Amino acid sequence: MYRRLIHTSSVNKSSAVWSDFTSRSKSLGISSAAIKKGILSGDKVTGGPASLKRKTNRMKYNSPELIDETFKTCYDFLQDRSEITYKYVNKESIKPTLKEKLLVKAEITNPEVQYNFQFGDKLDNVTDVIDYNQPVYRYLGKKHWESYKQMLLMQRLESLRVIPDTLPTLVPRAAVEIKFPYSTGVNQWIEPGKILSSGVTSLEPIFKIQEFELVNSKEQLYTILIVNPDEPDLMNDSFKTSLSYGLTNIKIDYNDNVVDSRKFFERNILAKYLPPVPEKNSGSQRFAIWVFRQHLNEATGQCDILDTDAIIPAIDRENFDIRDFVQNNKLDPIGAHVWRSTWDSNVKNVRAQYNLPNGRVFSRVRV
Amino acid sequence: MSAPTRTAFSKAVPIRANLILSRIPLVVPEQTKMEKQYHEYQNEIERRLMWTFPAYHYFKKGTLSEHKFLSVQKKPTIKNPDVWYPKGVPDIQHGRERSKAQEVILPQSEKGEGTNITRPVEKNPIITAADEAGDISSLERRLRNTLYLLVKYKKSGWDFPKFGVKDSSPLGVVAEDGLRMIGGDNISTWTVSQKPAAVIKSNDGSYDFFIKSHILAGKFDITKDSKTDIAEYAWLTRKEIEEKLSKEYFQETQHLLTK
Amino acid sequence: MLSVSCVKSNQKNIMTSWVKSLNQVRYKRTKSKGSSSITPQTQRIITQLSVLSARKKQPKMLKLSKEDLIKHQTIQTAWNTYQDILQNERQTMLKLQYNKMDEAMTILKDISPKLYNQANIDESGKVFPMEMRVPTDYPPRKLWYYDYKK
Repeated sequence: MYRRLIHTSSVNKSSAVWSDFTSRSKSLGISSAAIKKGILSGDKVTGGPASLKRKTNRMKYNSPELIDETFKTCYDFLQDRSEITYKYVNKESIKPTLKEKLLVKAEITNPEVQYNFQFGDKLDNVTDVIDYNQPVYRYLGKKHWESYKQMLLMQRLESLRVIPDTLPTLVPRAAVEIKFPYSTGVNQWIEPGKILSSGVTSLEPIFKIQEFELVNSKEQLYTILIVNPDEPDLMNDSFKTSLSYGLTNIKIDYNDNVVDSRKFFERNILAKYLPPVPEKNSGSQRFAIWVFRQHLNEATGQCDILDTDAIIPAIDRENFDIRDFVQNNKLDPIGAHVWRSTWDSNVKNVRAQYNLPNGRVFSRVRV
Repeated sequence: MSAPTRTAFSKAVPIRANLILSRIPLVVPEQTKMEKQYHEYQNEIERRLMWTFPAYHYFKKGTLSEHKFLSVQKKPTIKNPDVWYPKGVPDIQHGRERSKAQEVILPQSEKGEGTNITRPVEKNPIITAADEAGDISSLERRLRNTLYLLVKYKKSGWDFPKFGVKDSSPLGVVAEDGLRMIGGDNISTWTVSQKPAAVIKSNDGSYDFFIKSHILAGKFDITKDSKTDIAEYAWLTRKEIEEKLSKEYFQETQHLLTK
Repeated sequence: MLSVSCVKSNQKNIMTSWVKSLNQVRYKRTKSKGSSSITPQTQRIITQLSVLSARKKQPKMLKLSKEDLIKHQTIQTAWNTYQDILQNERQTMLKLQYNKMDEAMTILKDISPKLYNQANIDESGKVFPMEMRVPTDYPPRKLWYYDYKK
């Protein structure tokens, strides 16, 4: 039956849902005209693939036999199926979650989308190439993140015992990246668990929170905390948790999601940044970053705003109970990150910069 | 208590065994455009990634057959350090350009007939004489499709051959015997199973059970005795059956027929 | 005197022959070192092993440009989707056929237990008949065997 259907459909004119950009996002097509033409109508005539920069390389290149003809048929086949899905999306009054699924299904087989995602930069959020407002890019981004970065993060959180030392556990749902300002010398996204020198961490980090799930980005607010569970507690011969940095009521969306000083004001700061200044011989200290979604009221569609005036005086930065704080404010952890700091010769300068007292020097004591 | 009533009930119900006799396709189904292109594309990739043909293993050095074989092979471009190659510097090993698929040409004899292996294959036509004549009673029509036997009863029109079950012998046996009764003994069939494949309950309370069977050899030809009942017979594809049967009846039986 | 000279000339002879052997020149080797030790049988085994070996026979790696990589992936996706559709269709058909068979047997059990028992005899071990022909790309010369006699 289906075989016969295909026989007849090859006679009918094919649909053009993927080439009509009147109502579709520009990010669902390849921006470079030469590459687009090379994929959709073959590059044998134009003299080699446009993605190869040098002309000699283009001339040397041999593409597999019959690839263009086969691609044409397969493209039409997939486009026809996508059109059916789009008809269903537009016709029915369907649930948002199902609609999201169908939109992913309709576009995931589109070669232009695949090209953009596979060869585009996934962190820069250039909306012409990868627009995370499109369900298909969110889906692809999630799969990409799950394939490596999510696992790496969980491995670091578990082996460094960030969970359960700070919060009991984490089901990661958003990708959290951190970076320190360029003036500190390291201009790159930090890998979880890395040991950073005190100079690098002397200024507050920049966060990037990439949501992959369907959220109400107009209303949703976020809280970010950095805690240090390795502060020496000499009274109890133990360690206590201190709060290094706290931001709240932060609003981001799918693409514009880098949280730096342009994104928040004085009223968003729960606790001003205190850089890591580990004391000598106190070992390496973990700095755990936790990102929370604030509670969203289903009925009203409004997000609970944390009342900073009431909360700030109640916070004990030196002995911070993160579990209590999360429970009291109905915060939902969606992502985390961690870096480590140790004492180094620059700690003195950082302390001076922030008017902190001189640190202690620990030494082994025979009991 | 219940047993006698049940037998009484079963006697009251007329049961018929219908036979769905099929001739399986002789020729594989036609490939769609996509299937054909995909297989050719994969074939090209496979040829490109194939190891070099070790001719030295098949042709002894210095023999006439080796010479014959080597003389018909296309020679690749040879690497010369003084020459600029815009399509890339040749990379030849064992007489093969490594960046391309190797084309192995078999030598033909002078007359052009070739040996046993290289003789061109004559393909029989898939459209047969019966197709051209439109003879629906022939078994040699529509070689790509499965054909089913339909008979035209003088009373009720086109239908699958059906036989009443009287002395409660198995459904499959009734169907096979009935087929030989109306179509002659010289027919070889293979019943798929004694279990019925479907049932249809008629309005008058009778039941039609369907038995599936394949014809392997021989011919169905209406016998003299049954010519009073049956006007003609036909070997038809599913699509043609759809035109011959009533819509409701076809709806009930369509799952038994391959597309 | 004679004897002395004789001895002398002998000595000289010995001397010259020794000097000659010192000045002998070695030319480039024309025969391979172990050629005499390889028998035709060994050579044949070497050739056979080299036929199985990948050495010098593997083509260059297939490197695709970005465009061709995407094209190839699209072709594979389309093929997988197509196979999925065919598979689904087959599965639904099989399910339907099973249900119809089940229904037929249930009804048969109700209306005629005897026929039901006869139909329900175990048929395991039943095989396809040898005469059944597998479909081929092109038809055989003799399309159908009509001369079957019971």
